[in-house]
Amino acid sequence: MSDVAAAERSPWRRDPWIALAAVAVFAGIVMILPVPEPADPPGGPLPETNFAVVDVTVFDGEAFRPHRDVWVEDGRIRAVGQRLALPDGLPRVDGRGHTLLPGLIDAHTHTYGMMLTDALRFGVTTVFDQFTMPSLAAAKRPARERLARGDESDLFSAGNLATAPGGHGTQFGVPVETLTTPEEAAAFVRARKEEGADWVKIVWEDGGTFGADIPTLDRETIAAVIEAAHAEELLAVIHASTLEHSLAALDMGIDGFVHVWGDEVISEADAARFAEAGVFVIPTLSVRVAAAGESMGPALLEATEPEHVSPMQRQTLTQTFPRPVGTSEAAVESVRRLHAAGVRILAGTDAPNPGTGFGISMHGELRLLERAGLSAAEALAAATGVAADAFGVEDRGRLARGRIADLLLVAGDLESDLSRSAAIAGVWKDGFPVEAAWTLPQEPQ
Amino acid sequence: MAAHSARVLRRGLFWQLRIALLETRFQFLGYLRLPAFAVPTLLFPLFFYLFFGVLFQQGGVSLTAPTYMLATYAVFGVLAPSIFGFGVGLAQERDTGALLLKRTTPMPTAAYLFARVGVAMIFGAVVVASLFLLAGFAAGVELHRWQWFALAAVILAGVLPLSAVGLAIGAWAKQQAAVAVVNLLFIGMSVLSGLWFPIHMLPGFLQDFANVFPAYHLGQLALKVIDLDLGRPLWFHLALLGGQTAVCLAVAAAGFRRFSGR
Ligand SMILES: [Zn+2]
Repeated sequence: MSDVAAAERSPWRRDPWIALAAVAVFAGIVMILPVPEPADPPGGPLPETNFAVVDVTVFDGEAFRPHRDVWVEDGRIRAVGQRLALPDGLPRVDGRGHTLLPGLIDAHTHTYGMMLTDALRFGVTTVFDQFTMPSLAAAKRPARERLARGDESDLFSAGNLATAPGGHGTQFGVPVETLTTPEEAAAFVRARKEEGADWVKIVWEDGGTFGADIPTLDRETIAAVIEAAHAEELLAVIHASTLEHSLAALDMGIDGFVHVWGDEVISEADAARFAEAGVFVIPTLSVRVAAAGESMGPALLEATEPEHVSPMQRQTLTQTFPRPVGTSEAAVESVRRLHAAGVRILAGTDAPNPGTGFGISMHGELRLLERAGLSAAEALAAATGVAADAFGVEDRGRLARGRIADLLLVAGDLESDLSRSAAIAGVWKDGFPVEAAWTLPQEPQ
Repeated sequence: MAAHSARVLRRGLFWQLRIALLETRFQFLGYLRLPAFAVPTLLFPLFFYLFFGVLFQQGGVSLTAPTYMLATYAVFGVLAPSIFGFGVGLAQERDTGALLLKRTTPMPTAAYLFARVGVAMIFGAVVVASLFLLAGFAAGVELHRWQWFALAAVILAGVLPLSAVGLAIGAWAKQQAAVAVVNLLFIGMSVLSGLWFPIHMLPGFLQDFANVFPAYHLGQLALKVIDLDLGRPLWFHLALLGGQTAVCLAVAAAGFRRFSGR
């Protein structure tokens, strides 16, 4: 090649065009590659029974897992994973920018009124009731054993509590079976089991912390009830309002505590004893702070669209206790130490006590647990996986294959901002969307 | 001759590009005549992917594995032409005197380097396109359109840092040694960067050790496009990849100075 002009005329002139053509062919190949079926952003009507939420951050009951697909089939979770091979035509919800978690479990409520509908509207799909009428609990039981469209969360309940005649729990006008001696314990517990109680709740409350003097079970009877419950293969949980009573119940072999005490801060050594015994604690900080005169109710109401709050929720959230009891700092600090020691903490509100509201207060309880040192994931686990495990409820509380499709979809990243838990974009119960529950019956003007 | 050079240089950038493309064509045709290079380069990643990403995964409920392997085997696919092209090709040309001969022609060094990178990209693009077709139509992998393009872009851009590794080897090692070094590095870096099987299957200390390999960072960048990376920030991988490339280029420059001074 001695002549540049010859090179100009040569076939090498075509090189740039060949290069361009190669780029075009490559781009053409990329253009024909398969893309995912379109997914609808939440906000419109949500699909039911058979669908998938795609590319969503999942909280599976233990930990956050980004970019997951959750496939619901016949009201149960078929699969959770990255890039699931979903069938053609399956309705898909675009989960980007959202967090999907198991429906919440409120581990301490008292069922009353429209409670189960109010709770469901706020993503609480299962409640562990710590005292209600056994007939009411029995009436609600069939709903939890089938997968069907409904507007109520599922109920598990202690039913009739174990308390002394005239003791705490008898003051609400509801007939309560009571007992007084250890000898009655076995028959008492067997009757609860026959009524359908899912566990046994014991009250040890002499009213001392709020300046009253009320009858309560004696230690021997409490110990006998715990023993009888275990003989019937039921869990025994206790309402104890002082640290001293709680430590005594621990020694009696109790399985769980439905409140944290507010009188004293537990020592680290005693917290370690709780951990060693393997018990769980439902601190119900929502009611503890309300009792101390620091209710979260008004703040929760402020942060919620008024049309989502029922008159009853509004009423109980704005109620106050007659006079302050205990301090929230002591209760929060005890929870911090229990958690640090490795004690299982469960989220529960004790709604509808003053300063709390069904469902809505669970979102406040999560924040209170965060205040007590739980991470966002630990607080949510307290409201899902840990709660389900503690009460032996197997098909809820986790996003995993085979579990009931009770789902809560919220806008935002809960790991960095737990307050987003109330930014509800969708709730499914048994695989059915419950957005209908968002529309409360409006009172005539 | 001198007059020619002057005229050539006057032709400016377009002419230089023309020369670069010409050299690319020569090198590409040269490789095609070397089946020992071309066949394994093109077929190894495809064969591995077909076996582990498609046949092994049939009937699974999740497409995570075929999607993950698409990214890592595509990086594997550009690794071979990048480091073999520079590592072995350069050493060979230098040892046989071909490089010296080329240095006497009016072809600028930039055109030579462009051609080497260009050829690696052509081979890389063929591997990437074939892998994409296998993944999309045989394994059932679905990506958003932007993800397909971004994945291709990241992997083909990866030819540059990987070529720098080859350049550093080619600048120093003699032909025989270069073949051995490149092969060792090729296999070692592929396995230890998580290109053959997922990095999280390696023991912890090896996962940390993977940070020394450009192919690891490139793999993580590719996996980041499809949300399957280990979760380190983007800047971390870009910074290390950039630093490693700079080191390789400096090593290569030192090698060339020694060669020129001989
Ligand atoms: Zn209560």
